[in-house]
Amino acid sequence: MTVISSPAGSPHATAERQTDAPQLVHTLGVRCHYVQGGAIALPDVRIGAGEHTLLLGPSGCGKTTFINVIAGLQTIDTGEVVVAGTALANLSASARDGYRGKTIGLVMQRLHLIAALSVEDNLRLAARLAGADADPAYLKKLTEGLNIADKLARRPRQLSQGEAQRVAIARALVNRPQLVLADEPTSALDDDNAEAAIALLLQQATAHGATLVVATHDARIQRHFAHRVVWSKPAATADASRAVS
Amino acid sequence: MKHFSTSISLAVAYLRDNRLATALNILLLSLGVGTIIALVLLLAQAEERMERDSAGIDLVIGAKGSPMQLILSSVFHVDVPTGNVRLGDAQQIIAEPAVKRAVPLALGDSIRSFRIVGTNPDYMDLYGAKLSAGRIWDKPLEAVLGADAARLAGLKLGDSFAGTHGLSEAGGHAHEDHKYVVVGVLAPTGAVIDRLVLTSVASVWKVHDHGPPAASANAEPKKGSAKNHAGHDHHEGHDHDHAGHDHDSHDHDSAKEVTAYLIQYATPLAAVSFPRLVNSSSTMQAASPALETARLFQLVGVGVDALKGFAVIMMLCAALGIFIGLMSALDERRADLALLRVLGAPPAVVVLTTLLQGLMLGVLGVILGLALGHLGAEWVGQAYAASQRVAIGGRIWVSEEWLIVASALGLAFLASLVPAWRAYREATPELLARR
Repeated sequence: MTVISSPAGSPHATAERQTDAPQLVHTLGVRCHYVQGGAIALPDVRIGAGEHTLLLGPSGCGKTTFINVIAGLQTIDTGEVVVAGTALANLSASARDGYRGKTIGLVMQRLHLIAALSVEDNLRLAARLAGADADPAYLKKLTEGLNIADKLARRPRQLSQGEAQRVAIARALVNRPQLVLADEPTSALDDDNAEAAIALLLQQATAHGATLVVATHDARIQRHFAHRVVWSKPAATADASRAVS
Repeated sequence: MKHFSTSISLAVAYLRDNRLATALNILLLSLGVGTIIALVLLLAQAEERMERDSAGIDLVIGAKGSPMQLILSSVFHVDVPTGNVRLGDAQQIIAEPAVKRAVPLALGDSIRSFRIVGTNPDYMDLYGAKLSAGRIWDKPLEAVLGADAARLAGLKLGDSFAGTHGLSEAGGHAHEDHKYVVVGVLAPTGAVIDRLVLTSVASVWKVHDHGPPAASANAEPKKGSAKNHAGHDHHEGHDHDHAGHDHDSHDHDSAKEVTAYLIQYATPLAAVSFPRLVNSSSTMQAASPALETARLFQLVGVGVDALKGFAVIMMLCAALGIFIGLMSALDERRADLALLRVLGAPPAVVVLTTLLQGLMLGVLGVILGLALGHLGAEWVGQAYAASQRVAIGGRIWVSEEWLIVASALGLAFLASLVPAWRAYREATPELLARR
């Protein structure tokens, strides 16, 4: 059970790399099961604060499960998951809801903006659900940085795909999360847009002090990440996944 | 509480996002609620009104015909009389020991559609009416006006007026040669007496002295069978032929007639035998206000029940509309709601957002329905006020309305329970997590 985390350009480097950065995400011996049946074992992963990370692997290999575990969306059977100093295994369901709202920003492949609300209300809603009203100054800075400040009154259906994605990114960042999780943010996009989207995610995460973790099978974007975790084998079996580079 | 306000603003946003369905559901619910409210208001007032008008009257004696018509004309003063009875016949009957009090009524004329009632001061006692000005009549052609009659006809003490044949404003011939003088005005009682003009029976006889008196058979055949004068314009059928033309042959004294007697029994037992005694006479009948009122409500009740049933169906449709609306919205918004959970909302937000949509529809529908119901009752009241017969309106609150409000809200709540439960079960963060 090894994790290959390789600096850019040298995919064969080994994992046990010590970083100076404090650990933001740390998983150890995690196993969990799906509601619809089947169990999965996840690799041990360490991600330091500020260490933008790519989780790369084919569909069904467990990347998404990993994202869900870190986000507190999926409970684990055994093992240890610590995110930003919080041990998720011990949290109650409502505590996980609260943890997720405050610590995690999620960008999903399907953006899931709420159609009945304006762009601004979508952003404010995310802030309120996490327990605080959005700071207007921060909201302004955030939306200006994403070039959607003039779209705040629009409904999601009035936005272009790119605009909608930028709104989703803004929503992920509105609570100033320590960790931004993006699940297949680019797989539906063409090359140019995929490049632009991943660049924007990285830039925004950096700008707002969040660590970005992207799970994807989209190998086009791997050059953007110095820190990668690579799955090669579908991990639907109960066996531990074998990490291969 | 923060979550509560979040749920409210989300529910509002969802309702606004689907304006058409929202408006339809509110409209349907408010029409149902409004119909029931209006019916309840009108019925409650009519019932109260009729109870007050017939209080203290055990029996009415009058000319043969429809007993309900007799009650309607002599107690509530809405229909035309069944005819007149000879004074002598009536006096014989009311001399019976079963009768404690008998108040005579002589109808036939009106002033500006307020009926002129020839009677004695006992009639005022029936309603506990007190003079607010002036005195009681003591000579013929002196009149005491009910509060509304005085106000609406614009008459005050010392004014004189001529009665008109018939009971409607359109009525015919005015008795210009026999003018009444207003000698008294009554304080308002809330009963039918407010809308009457009282005078002595003798006045009515005097006015009609050019033929057989009272509201009786007219001497001039071409004015014909207008003996009751009432509503030539709308009751063509039934008031024309009651008191026979042959009265012409009687000399004036024996031809003295009254329209009805309002009877109070000496003992409750009288109710058993006295009506039978009256009905055995060839020209007179007895009718019980309580019985006829009950019969009336029974007749009206069928229509009212049908309307109420219709209104209940509308309310059920509204509830069904809310249910279907929320269920199909759930299909559309399951991901939305799951997203709320992903963004850190507890399940309560998802449940509340769904429940509140149903409840808001309910509350809005009920508010609009209350407004519609009261406006409707007021409108009907105004329409009747024009005919100056019954004073009803929408500016009251009946305790039954609470029940209607509660059931409408309860329906809306029930209709949103299942969608809320499903939202709770299905809109989990895992929904978005799974692909």
